[in-house]
This record gives sequence, C-alpha cells and structure tokens, in this order.
Amino acid sequence: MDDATRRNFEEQRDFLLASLRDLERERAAGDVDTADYEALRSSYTARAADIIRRLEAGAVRMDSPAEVAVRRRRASRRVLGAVAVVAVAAGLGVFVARQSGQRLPGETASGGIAESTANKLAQARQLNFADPITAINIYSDVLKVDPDNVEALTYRSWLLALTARDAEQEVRDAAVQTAILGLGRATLLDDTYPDAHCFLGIVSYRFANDVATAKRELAKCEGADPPAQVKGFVDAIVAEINAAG
Amino acid sequence: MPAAVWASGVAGPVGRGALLVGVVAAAFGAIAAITAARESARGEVTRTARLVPRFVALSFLAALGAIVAMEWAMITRDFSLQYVQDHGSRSTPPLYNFTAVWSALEGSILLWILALALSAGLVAWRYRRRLDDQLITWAIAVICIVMVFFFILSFGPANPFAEGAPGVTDGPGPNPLLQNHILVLFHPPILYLGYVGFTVPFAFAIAALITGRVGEGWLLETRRWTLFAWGFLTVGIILGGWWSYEVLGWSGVWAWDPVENASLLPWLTGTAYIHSVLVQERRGMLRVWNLSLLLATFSLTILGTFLTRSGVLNSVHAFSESDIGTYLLVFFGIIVLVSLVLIGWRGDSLRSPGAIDSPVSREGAFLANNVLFSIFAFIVLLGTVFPLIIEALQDRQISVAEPFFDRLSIPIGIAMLALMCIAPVLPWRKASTELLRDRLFWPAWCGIGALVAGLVSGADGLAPLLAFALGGFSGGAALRQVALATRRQGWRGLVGRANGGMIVHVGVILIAVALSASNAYTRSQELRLSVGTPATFAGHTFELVGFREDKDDRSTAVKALVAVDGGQAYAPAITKFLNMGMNVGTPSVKTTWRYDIYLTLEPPVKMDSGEARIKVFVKPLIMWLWIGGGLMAIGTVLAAFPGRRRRRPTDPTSADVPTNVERVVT
Repeated sequence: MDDATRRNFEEQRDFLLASLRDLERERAAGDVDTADYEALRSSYTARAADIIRRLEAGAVRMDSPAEVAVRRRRASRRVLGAVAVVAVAAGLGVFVARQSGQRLPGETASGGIAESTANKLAQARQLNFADPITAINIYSDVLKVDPDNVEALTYRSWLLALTARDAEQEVRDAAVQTAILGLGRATLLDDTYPDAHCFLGIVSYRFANDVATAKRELAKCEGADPPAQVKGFVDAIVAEINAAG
Repeated sequence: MPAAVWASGVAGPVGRGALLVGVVAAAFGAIAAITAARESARGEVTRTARLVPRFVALSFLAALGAIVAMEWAMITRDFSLQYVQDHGSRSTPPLYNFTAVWSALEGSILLWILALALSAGLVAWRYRRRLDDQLITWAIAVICIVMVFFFILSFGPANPFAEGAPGVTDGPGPNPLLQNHILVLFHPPILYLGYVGFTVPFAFAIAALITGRVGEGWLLETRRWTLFAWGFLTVGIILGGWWSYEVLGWSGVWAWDPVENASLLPWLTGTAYIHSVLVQERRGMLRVWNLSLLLATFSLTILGTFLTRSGVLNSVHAFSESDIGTYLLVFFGIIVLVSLVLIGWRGDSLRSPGAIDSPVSREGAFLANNVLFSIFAFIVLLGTVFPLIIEALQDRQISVAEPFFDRLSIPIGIAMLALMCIAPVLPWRKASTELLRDRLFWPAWCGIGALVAGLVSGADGLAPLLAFALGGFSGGAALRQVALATRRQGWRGLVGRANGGMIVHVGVILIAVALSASNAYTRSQELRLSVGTPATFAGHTFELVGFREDKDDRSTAVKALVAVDGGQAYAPAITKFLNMGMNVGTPSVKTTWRYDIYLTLEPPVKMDSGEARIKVFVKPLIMWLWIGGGLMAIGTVLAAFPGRRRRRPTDPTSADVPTNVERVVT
C-alpha cells in the first residue's frame, strides 16, 4: 500500500470513528431516533471495520460488487449533475438574452432605477434626432403618467410630423393632423412655452400650408425667447415666409 | 509652520513617497514571509520571520501616511494636485470635503489600501507568536502580495497625487450625489472593510493549499475574520440601500445596478461559505467546495472592482472612469488561475472521507442552501456581465433590465425562506418524521398566523402571501432555537455562531417580508398641488403650504413645503449645484412603523406660480427593512463573540454547553 492510499484510509477510519462517537452524543441529546441511530451505527461500524481490515492487511482488497455498483451510481450522478448545470446555465443564457434590450443614453448596463419624468425627458431629448422613434416612445411613456406634460406633448408632436415626412400621403396627413392638435394643446396648457409655438408655426407652414397660423405662432415663438437651437429653424422659416410675401 | 506653507504642494510629494514606501515594504514583507515559510518547511529556526511584522507595520504606516496626505490636500484645498482640482472645491462643506477623498477612483483605491494594510497589520499582530508556522507566514505573504498590487495601482495608473495644471484655484467638488447625505461617511468605508476583509480568509485558503494542510485547522483560524468581513459587507450593502432610498428620489432601495450587483456577488458566495463551512468543521465534508467558495468570493471582489471602476459599465455609482481595467482584469485572471492550479495540485488530499447520510439532515439543508446561493450568484453575475460580453462580441450596447433579476430572484428568495423554515431545527445526519413534526409544530403555526394577518390586512398576490407565510414560519423556527438556547444557557443562549446566526436569520426574514410588501403594495401618484388646496391620495391628504429657497456658495435648494394629513410639513427639494450646474432631487419621508410616505418634488419648479408637482409614494413596512439590517449586524457580532464557554464543532445541535475548560476549543 502506498503512502497516499494509507493516508486516505486512515483519514476515512478516523472520520468514521469520530462519527460513531458523535452519533452516541446526538442520540443522547435526542437528535436521532432509535431506528435512524441503529441504521447509521451499523453503517458506520461496517465501513470502519472494512477500512481497518484493509489497513491491517496492508493491501488494497478488490472492491466488492456492491462497492463497484455504488461507484458507478456516483459516476452516473456526477454526469447527470454536470448535464443539469449546463442545461440550467443554457436556459438562463437564453432568458437573459430575451430580457435584454437596447441601452438608452444615461441607462445602466443592468437594472436601473425607475426613471423620474425629468430623467425620461432628458433621455428622450438626447434621442430627438439620433433615434426619433425611440424618443417618441419615451415621450408617450411620460404622457401616460402625466398627460399634461407640455414638453413631452410638444416634442412628440414635432417628431411625429418630422418622421412622417417620407410616408405615404394618407399616413403623412394623419400624422400632421395629430401633430397640430398636440402642439395646439401644448400652447393652451402653457402659453409661455416657446417651443410649442415655434413647432406649431413650422408644421403649419411646411406641412399644412397654413400661412396665417404659421405667422401668428412664429411671432409668439420669437416673443417668448426660444432656445438657440430652435431659433435657428424659426429664423429660416420666417425669412422664407417674408420672402414669399 | 503656517498652514499656508503646508498647503502649497507638500501633500503631493509626501503622498507619493508614502506610496513608494508602501510598495517596497509590502514587497519585502512578502519576500520575508515566503523565506520564513520555506525555512520552517526545512525545519530550520527562522530568523527572517521576525522581520515580517515590521514590514507589515511599515506598509500600514505608509498607507496611513498616504491617506492622511490626501486628506490634508483636500482640507487645505491643495489645488496643485489633479485629484483635488477634479473633486475638491472651496465651497464644499467640511464633512463632504473630508469624504471627497474617496469620492472618486484614485481616492477610493487609497481607502482600499488602508483597509488592506489594517487587515495585514491585525493578522501579523494576532499571530506574532506563531511566525514559525508555515500556514501563518504563507497567509501573510499572500496578503502582502495583494498589497503590493494595490500599492502599485495607486502609485501608477490610479495615482491620487498626480500633479495638476498650474494656476488652478478652485474645482467643481465631489459629485453632487456624494455631498447630499451623511451616509457617504459610513457606506463606502464599511463596504470596503467587507470587501478587503475577505482577503484574510482567502490568504489562509491559499496558504492551506500551498502547505497541504487542507484539513479543518485553517477554517478555525479564519472563522472570525470571515464573519467580520461578511458582517461589514452586509452592513455596507444595507447602508447602500438606505442611501439610495434617502438620496436618489426613486423610493427604491435596490436597482440591480452593476455596482450593487458587484457588492451582492461576493456577499452571496460568502454567505454560502459561512453556512457550508459548518459542514466541513463538523463532518469533514465539502472541502473543495468550501475552498472554491472562498476563492470565488475574493475573486468576485476583484471582478466587481474591475466592473465598476474600469468604466466598462455605466452605473449610478460610476463616479469616475479610468484605465486601470486591464490591471484589475489581469490580477483577477492570476487569482483564478493560481486558485485552480492549487486546487488541482491538492486534489487528492481534498477528498472528503465521508458522505451525506440523508438529504433530510442539517448537512443536506446546508447543501441545498449552497445550491440556491450559487444559482443566485450565477444569475446576478450573468445579468451583470452579459451586456459586456455582447458589447465585446457584437459592438452593441444593451441593458439587462430589472425584470430579469426580479423574475428569477423572487422564486429563489421564496425557496430560501422555505429552507430557513426547516433548516434550523434539523439535526445532523438524519431527521425522522416524528422529530420534524415535533420541532416544526409552533413555527408552522407562526406561519399560518402571519398568513392570516396578511389576508386580514388586505394583502393579495401569491408571491407576497407566500413571503408572509414563510416569513412567519421561518421566523418561528429561528425564535424557537433562540428560546431553547436561552432557556438552557441564559443570556449565553444569545451568543455563539448558531445562536447569533438565528438572530441574523430573523433580520433576513424581516428584510424579505418588508421588501415583498413594499414591492407589491407601494402606491404612487404625481399630484399637482396648489397652495391652500389639499389633495387626497391613498387615504392621506397633502397640502402645499408654500416654498422655501436656501442658498449658499455651493448650491441653491428650492423646497416645497407639503403638510401631510394636516400635520407636519415635509420639504422635498431640488438642489442646483452651482459648480456643476446639476440639479439633484432630495426626497422627504414621513416614516411610521406601518408605512412610509415618500415625497419628491418634480421639475420644473415655478415658485411664483403657487403650484408644485409632487410625486407621492406610500410604501408599507419600509422601517422593518432597516430594523432587519440592524438585527443582521447585531446577530453577526453575537455570532463572532461566543464568550468563554464555547460549543465544540462536533457537539450535537441540542446538547448542553460544556462547563469544563478542557472541552473549550478556541
């Protein structure tokens, strides 16, 4: 018997003898009932006796058929365990792929706090021109919670009109009509918000050929000190209207 | 010497010098420890060993010197340093100026080093008379090697003492979210003590593998170190949840954000370890598994640092980004490789001599617990790194949102609660039906009582009702154990691993029930309030009393004063931080033992309009989250201090405590 095998047997012997001692105490404490105690004691005693016999013989005996069967069962269990681990991991991989989605500006790679209206608006603002469809969806989300949100109403209407430019006539007309209604509602909700007036003016002139509404709204827009980015559009349209007479 | 002279650029050279001393001292400490271990292995009387504590002490002094220099630079507004230019400001209040040292990457690495050097110092002091023991010297060598890595990181790519551009006289200050609540003083240092604390058991595990002493001896050495590291990590995570609740204004405590996940991962594997290690101590089983869990826990702290500090993932916590990612990834790779090689090398001696006799036994329950914690850790890891893998392979930015984590963590949480109902009463080896019937009688009635109480108070939904019922059941099981122990041993029945562990269980159960209730039954609405016109929501009235504006050099805060239920006025606010031009909302919370009323002020705020948009959340049982967290901390302390009369690891679960000194195992 080599040293490693001997050490292994000695360790098993010590473990089984310690288990027998512990078992007596556990029974005395009422943790193990009589039937279990008898079964465990017989098992430990038989295994310890076998190990001691092998140690004393100084050689490894051939394994009994029962031991071979136990070993085979353990090997099968190990294979089944490995298959189960792979299957669970694969299932979770598919699930995570299905649950993931495009990361929007400002979003974290995982999880994320339930966004406030202000954060959602900031997110949508960044996407206005890069990804208008996603921006429209975010504005719609905001309007579900706060139907009178002027910024969401204004920009969703504006983006709707812009994205429908290349659509078929029927779709475009419907989109422009919806946009004008939305922008009109925004101006009613907050007459001091310049963007709504500016966009209503532009949409009325460019997509609905309504010059009178355009002139009125663009004048209100200029009077309300619009943001520099919007003012650029407005100045160009006003110049065009003036040139057309 | 006048402060002005000190303020003019002394901190930089002092800090850089301290870091250099730290690198050298930690490297010599490692060399001396390895030499001493090899001398011991050859049976020689080691003289090198006595040098080890000196080098470790020098490393600690260097780390302390570096952080003091950084604090000095921040306090004296030494704008000659790039870090102070980026994160300091003349208008930052003293408290936040002090905490600004760890408000960004470079400073937080310094804090990490200090905690690590402190751990190394404590280990060297604790085992100062056992330096001829290879296990000890190899463990100190491993800690020193980890220290060398972090000192080099701080001295090189994450140097907080790098010189800044000349002529800068002011800076933006720390991120506004880091100067908005006093928890910034406690949450990061406590969390770091948890992360870093796991270095000690990791070092002992590596030392056990190197020396081949893979029996149960090293486990006994590291029992308290592990418990303290786990306790600090637990408290750090709970304080993080509290901070999120009090500062971020979304009324939640956990968002599955990458940084939160990075702290949860080592907590999950660490929790699995502190359970399964009992099986090894008691029955000599699960040796490879325990080693793997411990090595995984430490590896995950490094992986978490990589994920959150390298800039590869966006997070609400990613206050700075840097190029230290490669260093951390390589270090993580080395740790994993060395661990696997050592486990493979010692494979034969790690075989357990026995097997589990019955699945319905305490060891069977610990195994089931480990399976659940491991699956949970895998889910969190997968959800966190999946976006990173997709970005690397497909150059596409994706996000794994909350539903992925929620859908999978809820059934696992329920299964864990179910396990906590039965596990505490199970004996080792095998449990009979009669024994279970007897021991589970009262806990089961507690579960039924909790379910009925939930139904009577109007609760519905399968998951929360299951959580209430199982919470009652498992709470009953834990309290039964505590009651039995205190009946037998008096106040000593509250201390020790098993009894302290039951107090921790009660804390966990409270948290689980509070989270279930708040997730399932929170009601929220955005109210447009006008001064003098009350509005009603969820049975409460809200009246806008007026506005208040608080201004200082740093910020302008607009507060809406909202009277709740005709009583005290609460003041949700929006603060504009002038240096950064950033608006930060601050919620205001009315807390009772049954529910919280959480108010946030929504922009834009027009004070002269006499109107405000207030988002209201009514959240049940939130206070019990914090009480549960407190109980977990108390339970950990009780578990770590068993007093003089200790139970032997091999004693039966319901045996009396020995009174004779010979039976004491320390």
